[in-house]
Amino acid sequence: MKKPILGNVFLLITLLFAFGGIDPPLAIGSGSLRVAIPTDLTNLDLHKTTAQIDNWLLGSTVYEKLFSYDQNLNIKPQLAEKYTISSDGLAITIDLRKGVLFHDATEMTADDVKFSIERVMSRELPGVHNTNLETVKAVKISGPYQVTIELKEPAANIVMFYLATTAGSTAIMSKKALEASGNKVVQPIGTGPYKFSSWEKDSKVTLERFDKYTKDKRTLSGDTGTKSAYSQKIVFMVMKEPTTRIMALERGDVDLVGFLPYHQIEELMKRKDMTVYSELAADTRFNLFFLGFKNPWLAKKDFRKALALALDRDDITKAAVWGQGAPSFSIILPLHSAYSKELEKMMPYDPEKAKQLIKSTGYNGESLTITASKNYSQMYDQAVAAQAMWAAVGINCKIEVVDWATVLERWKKGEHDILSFAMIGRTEPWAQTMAMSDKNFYGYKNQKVDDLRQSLLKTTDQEEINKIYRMIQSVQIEDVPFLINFYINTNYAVSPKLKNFDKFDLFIPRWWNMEVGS
Amino acid sequence: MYKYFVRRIIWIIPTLWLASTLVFAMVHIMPGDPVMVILGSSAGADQVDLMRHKLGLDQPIFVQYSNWLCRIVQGDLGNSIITDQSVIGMILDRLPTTMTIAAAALLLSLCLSIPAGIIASLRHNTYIDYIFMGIAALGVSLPSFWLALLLILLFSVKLKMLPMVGFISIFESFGQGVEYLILPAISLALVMIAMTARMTRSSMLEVLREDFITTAVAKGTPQRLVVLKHALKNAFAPILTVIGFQIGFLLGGTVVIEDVYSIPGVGKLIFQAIASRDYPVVQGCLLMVTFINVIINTMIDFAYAYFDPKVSYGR
Repeated sequence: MKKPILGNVFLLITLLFAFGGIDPPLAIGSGSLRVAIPTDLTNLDLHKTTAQIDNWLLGSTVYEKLFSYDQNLNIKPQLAEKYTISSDGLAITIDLRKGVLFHDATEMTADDVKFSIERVMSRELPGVHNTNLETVKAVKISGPYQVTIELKEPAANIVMFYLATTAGSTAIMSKKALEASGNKVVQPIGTGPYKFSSWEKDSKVTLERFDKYTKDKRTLSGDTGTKSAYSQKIVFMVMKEPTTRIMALERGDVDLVGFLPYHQIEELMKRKDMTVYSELAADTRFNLFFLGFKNPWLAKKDFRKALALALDRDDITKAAVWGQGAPSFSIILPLHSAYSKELEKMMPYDPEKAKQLIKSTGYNGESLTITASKNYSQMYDQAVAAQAMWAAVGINCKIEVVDWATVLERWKKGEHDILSFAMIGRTEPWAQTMAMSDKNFYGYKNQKVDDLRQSLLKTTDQEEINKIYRMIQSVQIEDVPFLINFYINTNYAVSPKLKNFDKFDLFIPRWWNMEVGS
Repeated sequence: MYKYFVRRIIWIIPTLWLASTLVFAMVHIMPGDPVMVILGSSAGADQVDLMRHKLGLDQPIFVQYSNWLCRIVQGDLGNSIITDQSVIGMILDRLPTTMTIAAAALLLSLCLSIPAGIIASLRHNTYIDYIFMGIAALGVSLPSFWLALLLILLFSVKLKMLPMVGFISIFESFGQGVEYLILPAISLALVMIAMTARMTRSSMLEVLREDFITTAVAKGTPQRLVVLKHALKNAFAPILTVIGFQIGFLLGGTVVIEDVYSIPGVGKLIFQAIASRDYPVVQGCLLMVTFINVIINTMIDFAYAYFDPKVSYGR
């Protein structure tokens, strides 16, 4: 009798998989990855938007950039094959990967790259990110697959950061497609592993696997290297109510939920029907108070220091985001290599010292206004917590509640005493330190900061760059132009059906290399 | 009568002009800057000025108003300054959804509230009256978003009978469309049922005490005819006012329900546009809601003549 060898092998493999002995390899499947999102897309054109949600959905799925971040948060080529920076630091020559296809099946060439960078820089069309690349003098095509970015001053490290960053994206777009549509993004055409399929306004956005996706042969690391689109579709479903998003995950209607309500995270972490991540990202948001220098008290350095010393940032973090963040006074994000724990200790919680400083300023209980919005609960909650802490050292504050659009307007006009605010963090503190430069809105001026920022442009040595950032942070501690309170964790709740989910250390998760099981 | 109709219709034009001017003024008086919303918290001063110029927001307010008015007269509501899409297109994308849900909620409300109000009035001061009016009081008091979440929890999460969120048009797939309509329609209808039932009850009680009803009963007219033909018809004018008010509310004020059920409707569009100071969208939507309200109110005025014999447009 013939032995059923094949049948036994098949049975053995099945049993191994079934009882969890080994995980089955991921396979290119026909399933859909369904993600609940809190707000709808605002714009399909990433060159024209600063909305985080637009970058979250399209920034690393439909589009790719010349550079991105590896697992260790180093800038590495993505659509670029390699690059060189000239010895005078005034030119970046970028060789492009060959054979990379756009979703309209045309090949990406130097023409598209030049077109895309110039489009971002244009003062006419997008007008959103143009100042980011203001140090770029010209983009020249030096070969069919090579571009040279000429700079007005040696600022290669800053330009590289802007070419790699997801927010304010310098996504590479198809010149041909945009020219055909009058330079308007009607159907996003990128080079990413997923192509845009449909957008049902206020309801859902559907992306489909791009079967002709040109994989980067380099090893997967962070947002760079080989990407595999295992799910046939990614469907982003708009669900504004946080409770609805969680119920949808519970019911199995979605596989991944982001932007969890802070007060529920600890409870959700105990559940077995979902895995919850809540960790700091390298480009995370941070909460702070801007101080209006038009107010005579806030114009006094000692008074500002007293405000900072009176704040217990641990408690503010608990009050505002239920502890789902990192208390910090630092202008440098905690995951950046320039971050210094020693500098962090230089602005401790010291109410007694705060009281002494207040006394020395002659403050006599005059009322200050904290302007806050309830559109983002953590901004209001940090104001309430701070009001109590300042009251404890004798500083009298009242809270004025306005909506977010009004907060932004007051910020721009510098019409505020204390403004409860939040900012989008960047992987590079260059963007954060802009708030201390002469380009700020609230009235702080310090030539030393401008000189230090200028010196950042002239070096590509990371140790040197870190040293300069720490010097800027020392000025921040000395001058207290604003009060940073905490950096907020990025969070997700993931269904057990989702295999190989890798959150990565950036605000945007990796949407590829994971599969939805049955 | 004819003259009244014509006069009433002609009055729609100045009403809309006045409404549009008020809308424009209010939107621009609101504190907040759309440019800052577009550029976000990372904006630099140069970017702000450039964007302001590109959007024409650096022009004097009267120039902005006259430009807007000229475009409206030509049937153009402009483009969103956030998404750059046509405002008319954005409204028309969402209006069918809102109208479907509004119609379903209204239908459900009328089917339940009017019979409940009639029964409560006929069984005045009995347990049935107390129960119906108790439920009505509960309906008015319950926050609709809370009720919506409870309904989702029960019917979608626990019983898995109905879909949780989203919307499918009944014209695309009738069966599925109805499934998606049930929970939002109930959430919206409950408050309306309560209000209309209470109004029907009190209006009916008033009419049932009138002499002509006593006469009709004394003449041996069957109760069904007394209630439906004589009492209800005469009691209907105030009920109609409430219904008209509710239609206006349904077309613009359903934002909470749209949020909870993730329904892409007009209410949500208005709310988002206000939050982001998207002036053309706010102006366009409010103008549309005003237009629909004016039309509905005009139609209700015309309908009064049928239901209330005391109203005569001839004089």
